[in-house]
Amino acid sequence: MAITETHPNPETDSAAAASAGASVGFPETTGIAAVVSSGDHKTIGRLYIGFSLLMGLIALALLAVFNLSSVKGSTLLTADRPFQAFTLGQLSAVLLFLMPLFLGLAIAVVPLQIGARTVAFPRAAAASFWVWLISSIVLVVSYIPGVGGGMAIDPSTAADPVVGKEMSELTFVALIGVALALLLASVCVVTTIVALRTSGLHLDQIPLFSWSMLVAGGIWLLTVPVFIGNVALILVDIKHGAPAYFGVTYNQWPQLAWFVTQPQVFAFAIPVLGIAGDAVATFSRGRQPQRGGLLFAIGLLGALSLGAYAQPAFFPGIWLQWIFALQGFALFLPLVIMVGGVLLALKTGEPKLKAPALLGIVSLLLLMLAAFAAAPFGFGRLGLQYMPKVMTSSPALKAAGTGSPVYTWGILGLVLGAAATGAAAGLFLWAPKLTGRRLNDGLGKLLILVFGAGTLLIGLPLCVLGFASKYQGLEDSADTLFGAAALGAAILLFGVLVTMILHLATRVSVLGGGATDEPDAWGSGASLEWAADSPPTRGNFGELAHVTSPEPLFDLAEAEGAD
Amino acid sequence: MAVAQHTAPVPASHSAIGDAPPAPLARPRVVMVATAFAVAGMVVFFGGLLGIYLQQRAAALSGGGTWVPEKATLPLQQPTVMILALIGSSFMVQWAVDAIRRDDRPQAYLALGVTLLFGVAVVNMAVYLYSVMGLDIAIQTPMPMLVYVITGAHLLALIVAMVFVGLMAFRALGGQFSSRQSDGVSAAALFWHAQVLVFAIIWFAIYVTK
Repeated sequence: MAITETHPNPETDSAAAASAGASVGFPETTGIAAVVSSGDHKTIGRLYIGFSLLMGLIALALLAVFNLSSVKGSTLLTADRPFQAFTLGQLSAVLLFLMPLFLGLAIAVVPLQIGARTVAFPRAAAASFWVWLISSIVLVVSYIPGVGGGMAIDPSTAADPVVGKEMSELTFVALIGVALALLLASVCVVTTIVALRTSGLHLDQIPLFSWSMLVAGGIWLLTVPVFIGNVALILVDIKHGAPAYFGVTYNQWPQLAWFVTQPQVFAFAIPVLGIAGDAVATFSRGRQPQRGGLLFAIGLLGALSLGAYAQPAFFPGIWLQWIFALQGFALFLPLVIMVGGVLLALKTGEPKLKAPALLGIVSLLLLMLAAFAAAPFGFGRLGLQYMPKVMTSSPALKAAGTGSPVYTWGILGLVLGAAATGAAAGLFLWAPKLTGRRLNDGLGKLLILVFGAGTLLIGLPLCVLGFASKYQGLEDSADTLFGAAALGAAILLFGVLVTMILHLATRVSVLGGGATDEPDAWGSGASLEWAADSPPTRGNFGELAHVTSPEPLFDLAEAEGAD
Repeated sequence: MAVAQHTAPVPASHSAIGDAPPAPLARPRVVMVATAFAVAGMVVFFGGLLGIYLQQRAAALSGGGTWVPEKATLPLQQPTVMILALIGSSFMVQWAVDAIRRDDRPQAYLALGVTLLFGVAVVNMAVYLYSVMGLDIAIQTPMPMLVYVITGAHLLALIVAMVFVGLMAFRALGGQFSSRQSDGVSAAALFWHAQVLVFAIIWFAIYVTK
């Protein structure tokens, strides 16, 4: 569509398109064809959310299996398989689960929050989803057991080394595809926020989730390309090189590990702050005090999570640099500010503690725990950056620990769990916009226990094991700690599965003619998404008047009250 | 009237909004904004690769070794011609933006065409440069790999920029851009300038300082 000086009018546009289609004999698409060819931001968002939850199950299953296979005497996986489960599990936790989940939520919700009728470049957003999905499937398939693809310790042991090399190339091509697709989706989201806000809605007045996606999208755009550069070097070296350095099997993971270690790993949890802030603001039934402080906190977390420079594979002493230590130490600051702001909102409002708000608060606390855990990593004296003796007990553990010490696995686990909890908060909060109806609140409250327990178990035991190079007595407990981490991954997997089923069942029920909620489903919404139908119709809104504050619905209610 | 001063968001299903006047519509600059973000991504992509290049070179030289393999060369002549051509192309693409803002269509078409011509010339010179360098990628030192990945990626960025400029040229021919709306051409120019800047850094880091 040509760039116009006016917002598109979807109703007249669709009517015109329909009449144009009728005149040239194109039938109107319905059913699956309509979903596949859709440029509607809600549909694209739902697709992203659904499939990223599915991929999340795979990621968590892989992490559970890897931790179980790390127990001494385990025959669950043999040869290269534990290492492959580890690398695919860690990368897919971020690239196939967290990033697409938050982007999906943003593509569906952000235009509603800022009063836009669509996401910027809806066809590009749709293309990003399909590229991401196909690349994700290729990535997972490239790890087929017995062929030797993916990141192997010794590809010569593969059933067919030639095919194994080709499958390995496929892994890196797929990684680039996944990353590029997510970058494209990020561009769509941040452009929507910057360029398509409704009249009067200044950038500092947008809801916290939209703000957090602007920050997260910006940070992803500044770091994911560096990761793509790393992958490209590996791919070209495998394909055309001797290989020289980059493509050598035992060098591959250390070059990519920075992406899932601190501080970068916190970049994938930035939207949690926005979701928690919006959830609590919705249920505190009052205006958010010190809103500027919360915006600052989200921006600060973004700045502190810039980790593309911290690549120990190329800069061996980087983890001992003062800036790295300071960055890790400061990570908890924005979270303290955020928790303070949330508590202030609860104190000054009339809180009604429903599942989304509780999940949001718990996700913030879990993320704060992750940040506290990250603080000591930069202090070399604690030995957290080194490999405990127990990690050399198997080639797979040794390969996995090279470039990403076991302590960082624990931090990733904590961040992953916190982000999954935050995403669940968002899915419960905006379920009326995504599915048409609120999800079961009681089950949501039960999920707090599931996500909380899963996060603590998947992360803390591995953090404890990280101290084993300093306190060698801990090595005797390695099996127990790995077992606990596996249990944590399994519990998180259960939580994600329940969330997915709840969403799917509610959506199917609504599509089958079930009841839908009012626009302001919780009865206390302050931002613009609560003025759209549940689920929103095509075009989202009628005409919007000039917005003058971050809580336009409160303004409207107050104005009507005054009249 | 209070409603008019505040927000009157309404669901699409109840679009009767009483006396609230529609908000003044802002001019969306979506293409420009999206291009700016894409450019930021492109710059850090090359920044990351060049960081690795410089680190590897410093490590090789500090160990008393050589960086450029035997029988290979990193000539300066061709890259200098390329950077000069690219700088010239930057002026051309900016001329196109200026012309479209003045509704001077013939000049805009000419400027866009010359920009593309400069692009083709640079691609041609890059291919020649590869043949002159004599770098064998399949040897066990990282230098050839890094040079090919970095310069190859820049070549790809240049081709993307040429496609972008070409598309905008066709849209300009279709009358979609004018003094009132020049975002598409401006966005293509922004991307073009960015890849020129990237090549300037590559030129200095790889070919000048060797």
